[in-house]
Amino acid sequence: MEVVLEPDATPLVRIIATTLRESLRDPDLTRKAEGLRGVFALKSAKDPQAVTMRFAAGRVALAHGVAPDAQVVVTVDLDNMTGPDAPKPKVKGALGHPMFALTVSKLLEPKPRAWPEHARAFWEFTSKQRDTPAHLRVVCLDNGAILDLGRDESGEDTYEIHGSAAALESIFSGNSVFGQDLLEGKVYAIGSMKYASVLTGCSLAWMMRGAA
Amino acid sequence: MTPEDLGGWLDAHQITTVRTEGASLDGLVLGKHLSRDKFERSLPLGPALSDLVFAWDIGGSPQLGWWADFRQPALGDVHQRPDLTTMVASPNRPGMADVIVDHVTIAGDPLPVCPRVVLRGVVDRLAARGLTARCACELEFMVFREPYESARRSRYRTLTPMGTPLPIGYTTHNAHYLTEFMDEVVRRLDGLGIAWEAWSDEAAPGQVELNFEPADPLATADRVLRTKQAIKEVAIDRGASATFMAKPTAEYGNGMHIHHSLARDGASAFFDASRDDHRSTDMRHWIGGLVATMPAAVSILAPTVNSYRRMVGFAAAPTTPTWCEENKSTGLRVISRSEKLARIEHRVASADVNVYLALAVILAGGIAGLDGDIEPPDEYTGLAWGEPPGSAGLPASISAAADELERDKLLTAVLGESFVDYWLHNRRWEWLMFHTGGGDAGAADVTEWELNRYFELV
Repeated sequence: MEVVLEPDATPLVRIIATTLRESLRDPDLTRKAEGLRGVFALKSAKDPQAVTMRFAAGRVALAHGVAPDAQVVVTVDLDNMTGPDAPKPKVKGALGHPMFALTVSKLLEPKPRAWPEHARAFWEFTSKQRDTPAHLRVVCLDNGAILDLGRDESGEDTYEIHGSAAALESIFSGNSVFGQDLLEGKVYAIGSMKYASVLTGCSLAWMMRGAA
Repeated sequence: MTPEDLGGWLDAHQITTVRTEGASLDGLVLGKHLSRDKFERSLPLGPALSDLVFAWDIGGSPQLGWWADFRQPALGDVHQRPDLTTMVASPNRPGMADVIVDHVTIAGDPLPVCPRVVLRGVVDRLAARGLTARCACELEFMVFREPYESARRSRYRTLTPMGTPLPIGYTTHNAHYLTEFMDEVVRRLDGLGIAWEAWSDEAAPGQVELNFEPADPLATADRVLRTKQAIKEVAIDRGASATFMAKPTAEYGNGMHIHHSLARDGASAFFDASRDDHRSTDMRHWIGGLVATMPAAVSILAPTVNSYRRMVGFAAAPTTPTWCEENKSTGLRVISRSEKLARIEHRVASADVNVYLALAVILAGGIAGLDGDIEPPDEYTGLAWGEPPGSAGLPASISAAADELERDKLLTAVLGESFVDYWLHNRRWEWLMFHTGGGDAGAADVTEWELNRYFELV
């Protein structure tokens, strides 16, 4: 199924494109999505960010804002859409279009994968970028599990990220940005300012990779 | 002034404090107030500042996402190396001197992202070709009767323009409202040795245009940097507020048209009396380079999210990569009717621009034209606004402009990869801050986010 972005798309449009493409890895969901016809809008509860998804003829076109003809409008906390303490979204129009609303909601919540799987995919992307560390060590604080990505021949080119499984999954799946989570104390890190900065850039690009 | 002359000059002017003045990427004036002793001891490297000054955004957030080799492994310093030729006694603060600086690393190497260093590099490229440039800016800004503190409290809305509330310019009636303010501004400019030519009220309520005498590019940029600071200081001292935002209100925006000419061996390199159009081959190629690089140059000439609100049709700002003799709707207004007047007016920049980078990117475009013998497209003799969809236009957003600059290789070849790479990250950060920090992508008019971020600082 084709995911089409408006030119010069906003960050939220790009992030939702990433989310939809992740969900469309599931053939069953793709089959259901291809049959969708309607207009679904997602808006932030805290600021003016919003995206309209227009489903028709086996494709979905994304644009910023809430289109006046949106049949379903969901208002969410964009910083915490799926966490255990996520506030309940406000939904308008779902009663009139229950199947449409349900299917799109599923598309917006890709099947969870374990954090190491996400971390490997993130590293596959990140290790090709400029100025990244040779070795990224990820430590899960829930159970002490360690994942080593890349190799540090010099012994001086390692960066470490420590966090709960939920926090690691959030970063490596592209749901949140590493630098922001680090500043907010959601994860911890050992290493240089340079790698903190560069990995934040990679994390941002990873979040919006669906725009590519 | 040489280092040997410094002590005598400080004595003669009874200087006890020296204020350093350097440009940040956003065009803010960065500096310290130093005791005379500390200033003299700091030479030749000058005082140190945290290298975060080149990794903060204009809202004060540390920028994460990229790196550059000039930075220390964690947090470190850069230095402000004074250019003693710019030392001047303050006309309004007895005992204080101002000096403009270049930013350098702790080893004394020029910082590749320091705007003054970038401009100096481009000027050197011109000099290597035996060419010199002269530039003159037309700086627009708006003045309001409320002090900055009141403006902040009202979130920069419902301010009272200094002048008639009608969109009318060039009237002595309207200008008279501004005379006390502007008399003080030009008194300070005279004291700073800044050669100004004229000022007039402009079309938007409270808007002023200030014109400078032509000078070499570095002197031109230094003058504009100091003038912006002086105007803000006059506003503070007189209980008013002034802004260089591209579009602080719904009225006409604030631009900064940049006139420039080129000379070789003291004669105009733009003028050729033997040709009917009087345009030399160098001028033709220079125009070709400026037009070819104009979409990419927009990223630097229109640096903020707000800049793009000014760049709409029929609002006095160009929207197309075009040129024409004596046409103020095109990106370039070319004047070639006499050797004395031969020059190009680049009309894209908004007043929120970093003047060092604006001059650098314009001269870099011209150099690219000379290097590549780039022929310009046909002159655009019509009105370059109101064209149908699909016509080639200039980028309409900060993100689209960054994409254009990333695609363009001509400017990067002159400005340097280190600077362009850093700038692109920086502008994409600004885009991200707007969208995720409360800016409204769908707003038809200036948003509170823009006013809060830019009104006082750009």
